[in-house]
Amino acid sequence: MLHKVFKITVLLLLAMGIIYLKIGVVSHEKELLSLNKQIRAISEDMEVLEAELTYLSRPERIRQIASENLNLQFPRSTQVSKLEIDLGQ
Amino acid sequence: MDIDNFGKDINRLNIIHKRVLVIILAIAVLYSILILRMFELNVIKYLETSAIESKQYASKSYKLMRRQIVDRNDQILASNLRTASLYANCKQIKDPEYVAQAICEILSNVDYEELLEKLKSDSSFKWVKRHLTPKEQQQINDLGIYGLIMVDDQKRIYPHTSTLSHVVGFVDVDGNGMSGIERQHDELLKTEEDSTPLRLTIDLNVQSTVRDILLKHVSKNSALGGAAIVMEPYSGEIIAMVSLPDFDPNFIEDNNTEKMFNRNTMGLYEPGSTAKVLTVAMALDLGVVNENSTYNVSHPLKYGRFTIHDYKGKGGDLSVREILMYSSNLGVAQIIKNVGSIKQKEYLDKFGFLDPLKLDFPEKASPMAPKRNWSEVSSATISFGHGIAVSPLHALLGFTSVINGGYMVKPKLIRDSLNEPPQRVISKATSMRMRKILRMVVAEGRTNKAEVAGYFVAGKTGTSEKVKGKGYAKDANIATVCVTFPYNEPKYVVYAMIDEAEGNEYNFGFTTGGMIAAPLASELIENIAPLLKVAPSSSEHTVGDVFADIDNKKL
Repeated sequence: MLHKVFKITVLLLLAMGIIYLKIGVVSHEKELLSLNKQIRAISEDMEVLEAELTYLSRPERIRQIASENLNLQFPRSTQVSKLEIDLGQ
Repeated sequence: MDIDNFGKDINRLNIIHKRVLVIILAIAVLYSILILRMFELNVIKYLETSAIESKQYASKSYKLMRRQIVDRNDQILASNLRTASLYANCKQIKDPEYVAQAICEILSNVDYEELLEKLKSDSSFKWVKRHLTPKEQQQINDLGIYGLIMVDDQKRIYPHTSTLSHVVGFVDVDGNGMSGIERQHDELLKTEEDSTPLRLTIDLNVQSTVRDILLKHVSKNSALGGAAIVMEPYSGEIIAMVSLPDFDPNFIEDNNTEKMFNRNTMGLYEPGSTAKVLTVAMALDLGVVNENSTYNVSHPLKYGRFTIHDYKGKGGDLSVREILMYSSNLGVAQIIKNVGSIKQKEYLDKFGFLDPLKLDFPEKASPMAPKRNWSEVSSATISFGHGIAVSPLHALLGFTSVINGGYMVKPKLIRDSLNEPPQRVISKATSMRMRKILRMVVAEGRTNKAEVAGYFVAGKTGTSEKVKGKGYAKDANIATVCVTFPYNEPKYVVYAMIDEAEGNEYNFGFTTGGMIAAPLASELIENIAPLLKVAPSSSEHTVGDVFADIDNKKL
């Protein structure tokens, strides 16, 4: 009788252990899913922001702002000179 | 009596025991059912729904429609944006007139009649509109109409609008490449194995600057259009390639085919006097002339019913160097006699003037040249760039092989593509001699308006009349220029062309290469050289230095 009770108890414990493990795996999967969703959302946001950044940093726009707001202009070749720096000193 | 009562009590107790047992069993069964149900709901269903959720996410996982395209400095040229598209399950639409009216009030560019016809059909899938804006999505959702279904979609976007329209190209509404790089590398851009951006050789800043300057010159000269290319002479990497007019690839439906025509690779134009560079190079390379050989250019040359003249001829005896400096048709027509038409054809073939462009690009034209044996007059006219038509990129590649040490390079638009070994066209010595002659052409010849202080520009302009109807149109010029800088160590080659300029106050009525294309090249070099980190030289260079520089330079 005791032998049977012991066997049943062990089987029950094993079954409960498997279920516990399975629930643990599923729980981690859910966490992974949630993280993947977050990654996807952030990736999408990044894409939109990258596109906005690219649009806002168009060379012609920067040139216009530099010229109208900062009164900058392209240097003429005579205004460009080469600096030679001696890194040894 | 007592015994009887005792017996009855025993029976009654037995019945009570049995009833209690039944009740306990019933409760146990009920509890078991409850426990099993709880187990099912809490464990089995939980596991099942989790698995389904994972599968659903995996099937919906976000995949880019196409790889991004970036310039050589990783600036985004083409990207994707997530959008939503709207379709109708017409079987579920109860009141098509009302739905069509409601949709047309929200969505732009949707035709009421066309939509109504779609909604009245028996189809379970009809697109209403692709790529709705977030505001439109919200407004459509607010309508709450059964049968209107929104699905996830992606849209290709070009943040730099027209700046690279001819190079990058565009895609159709389903994301299939239709022109330019988008079409040429359609499969590569669609691949799911590699999500890294496709890197071009183009420099966005240079491209944008070139476009702005070209646009200004086209406008000031009241021209039909223009083209410009900047290329590295040794690698063949194209840094900028602009064709005007251009189009906004984000809104294709608004554009026409004329704007989509890429003059740089599809346009065929007579190269005009820029071809004289090739004629002189082949003559020097064959050793049939040297730069001091002289030719008399005082009198027109007659070939049957054809007569060859000089434009503003210098007259007298001109050396080979002077023939290029003063762009003498008569001079090169005589030089080519020394070369012979067979050798001329061989060299032009090596310069790439007789074959389609070796560029991985869908929009390409094949040159137009006399097919069989070239007559004497064909040979003469081709020597100064008439009677043969090539694309601007052909013209630039031919010029490049003259100044880069004598190699024909394969033009490249993809940064990481393999370099093919360049083919030798002329000797290194000829190339070095041509550099100094071309420097003289800019320093003291008719291409002097291309000069930029400190950059020692070398090159040649050209003018050709456009073919209209059965002959040449006298008032429709193609003004071109091919230059390199600095001449003693070429860093870049530049081609610029203005198509059919009108004589006006800006150009004093002259629409020749020397008058309108050379100043364009000068402005281009002055503005792009600092962007390309080419500093001007502060040293004073005399004409004598030109020869000394080349002779001492080891290439």
